[in-house]
Amino acid sequence: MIATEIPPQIFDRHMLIRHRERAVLNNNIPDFMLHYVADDFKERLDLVRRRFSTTLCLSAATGVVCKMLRERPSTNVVISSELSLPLTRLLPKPAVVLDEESLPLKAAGFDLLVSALTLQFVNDLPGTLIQLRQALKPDGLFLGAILGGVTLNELRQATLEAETELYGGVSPRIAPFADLRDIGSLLQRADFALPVTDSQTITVTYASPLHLMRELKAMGASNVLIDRRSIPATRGFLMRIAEIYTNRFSEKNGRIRATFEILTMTGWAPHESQQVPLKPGSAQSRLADALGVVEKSSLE
Amino acid sequence: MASDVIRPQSKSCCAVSIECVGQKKAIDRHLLDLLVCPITKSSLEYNADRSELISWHAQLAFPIVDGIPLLVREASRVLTDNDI
Repeated sequence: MIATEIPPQIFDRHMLIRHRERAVLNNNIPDFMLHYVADDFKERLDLVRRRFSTTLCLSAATGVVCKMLRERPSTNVVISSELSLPLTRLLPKPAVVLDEESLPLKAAGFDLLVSALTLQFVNDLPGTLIQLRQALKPDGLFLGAILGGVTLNELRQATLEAETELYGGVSPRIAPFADLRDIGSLLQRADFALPVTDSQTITVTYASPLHLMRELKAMGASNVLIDRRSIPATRGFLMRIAEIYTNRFSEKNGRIRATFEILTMTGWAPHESQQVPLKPGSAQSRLADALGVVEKSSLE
Repeated sequence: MASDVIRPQSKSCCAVSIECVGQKKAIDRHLLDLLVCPITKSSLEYNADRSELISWHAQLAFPIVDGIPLLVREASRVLTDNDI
């Protein structure tokens, strides 16, 4: 791939802004997942024994993560950001309107960059990670959570099956999500030091598949795929999805389950104080001596 | 140059808000110092009169509304001969 190639456009970012505005301004957004991520981020940051004097909270949505960062004594100057002015107005200042696809951040300007559950909707994740990495000061930390590939697999299966049945083909309805291995290598590619990724799966139950769909819409997570079908789903189609979903993914108590996978990434901007592996063959003493055993050659 | 105005004057960690001359809008100098043009990543010049951040490299001006800089392409305006 040549450097000037434009990455494929999968997500309609304007549509995404409209969905986010509708969800957040509505004042009734189900943000339990953001609370979950905020608690998780808090635990992770509590383990880091250093101060972060300049912090940016990207696409802060309802501001749950911003609030957590502000309440920590060791994170100072928390800047909030969102994708549009109406969304950013709701956040505490200092605040800025920015797009994660072309970040207006000064090189080596930040100690901590935090992103909760929005980077799954950028078209060029490698590009965004590189820009984030460049905005970090040496030994600065990036802490991000995105939705992973297992997310909504039940809905994906039910939709696929119903669509094949009724329309004889499928159209993109649920976004492709990255998997754990992908994001690990993307962090490395973006030159993050000590990259760590992990996956957590959350199972949420709903009264019915329609309740799940309603909640996804209320979260601002409706379909933003560029190649989505322009015709809205018919009632018959939704009912068939609900039927297949209920038949396959019900709990004993009659509720249906939906899986969300949260992938968490941490990566540091390289700094001389960080541990690095020694060159192979540079050891000064033998491992066998340290262990008090006799070294065996592999041929024996 | 107007960009001199936005340099933080102290090493303090706390963001300092100042009242812009002739305007009632509070601009966070520490914030402005951390921002660059989203398209060219070049430095921005603060124009207090128009409440804009100017990227000479991209030939774009980004508005600041109620102290919030809008650093997205859609919100910007293309510079004209009158701006120079």
